[in-house]
Amino acid sequence: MIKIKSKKQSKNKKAQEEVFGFVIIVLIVMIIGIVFFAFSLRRSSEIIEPKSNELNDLLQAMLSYTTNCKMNAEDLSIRQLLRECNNYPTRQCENQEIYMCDLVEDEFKLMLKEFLGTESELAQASVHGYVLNITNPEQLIAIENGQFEGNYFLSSIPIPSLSASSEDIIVELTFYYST
Amino acid sequence: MKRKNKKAQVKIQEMAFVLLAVVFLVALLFLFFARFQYSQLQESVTQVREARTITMLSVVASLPELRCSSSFSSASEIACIDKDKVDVFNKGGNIRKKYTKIWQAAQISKITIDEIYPEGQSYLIYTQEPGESTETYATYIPLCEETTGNLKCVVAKIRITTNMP
Repeated sequence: MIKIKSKKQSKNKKAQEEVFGFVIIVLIVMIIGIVFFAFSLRRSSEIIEPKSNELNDLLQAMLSYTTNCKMNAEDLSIRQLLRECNNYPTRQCENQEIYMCDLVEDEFKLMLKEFLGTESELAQASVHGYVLNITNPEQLIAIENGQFEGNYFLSSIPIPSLSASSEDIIVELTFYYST
Repeated sequence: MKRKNKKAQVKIQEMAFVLLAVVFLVALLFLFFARFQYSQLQESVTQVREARTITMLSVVASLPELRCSSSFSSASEIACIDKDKVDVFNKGGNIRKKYTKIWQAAQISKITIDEIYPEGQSYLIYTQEPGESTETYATYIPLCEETTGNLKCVVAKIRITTNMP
């Protein structure tokens, strides 16, 4: 009699243990599922990404910017300065004692800093690095700032040379951004 | 009899848990699927809206009432916006009213142009009460003015706010 009772008790206990184990498994699956779902929700938060056509427009607008550098009593744009710099690397502005090549580099540095921020501001921003390369095809100007990793947009604008003796200029701007 | 009842109870309990787990897993799978579909849909909606607004940006920038005249453009070599024309729109009056229908048809609620390099004036081309949901897109443009035979351009940002359906 005692033997039968203890056998029945042990069977009940085993069944209880089985149910308990199953509940634990279900709970674990639920927790994993919820964590995974919450993670997928968090990942989909919006990141403001730069647009490639915006970059192209920016480069075009920068090239059209008129500086205070005069030649033949006319203020020259960055595009015109680049052409002058390409043809006559040692030419200076009429109203300032500065080489046109140096002025172009300074203006680009200032503009890019104004639009994208300083190095510390870049580290926090979506666009975390940029490279500006101006070639003819030899390197005329190279400006870079921030980190050059992750995805990137590249905009390239050719500036045809107006003189037969010099090569065309290629202005290339690359933005590195995080997703 | 009692033993049989208890065994049946345990089996029912087990079944209930299994059903609960199955329902939960199916619900979870459905949620993932819905989430995936929703993000895909959202992405394509954003792309369509973006394309539309970018088109609007270039349409606005190339309007003869705003863009530089052809003699200007040959000097700057690219399309630019005439500062004097923008100034007229900024003053409001009849000219702004005349274009209201065009902007309304394109679901545009605001157009502004800001001089950003060097920092300067802001111009309001058009504004109306915005809708419940709006989106703003911007791009860079050269803003030029002709001064005694000389063309002076600054870098400006054109912003267009559109009402979303």
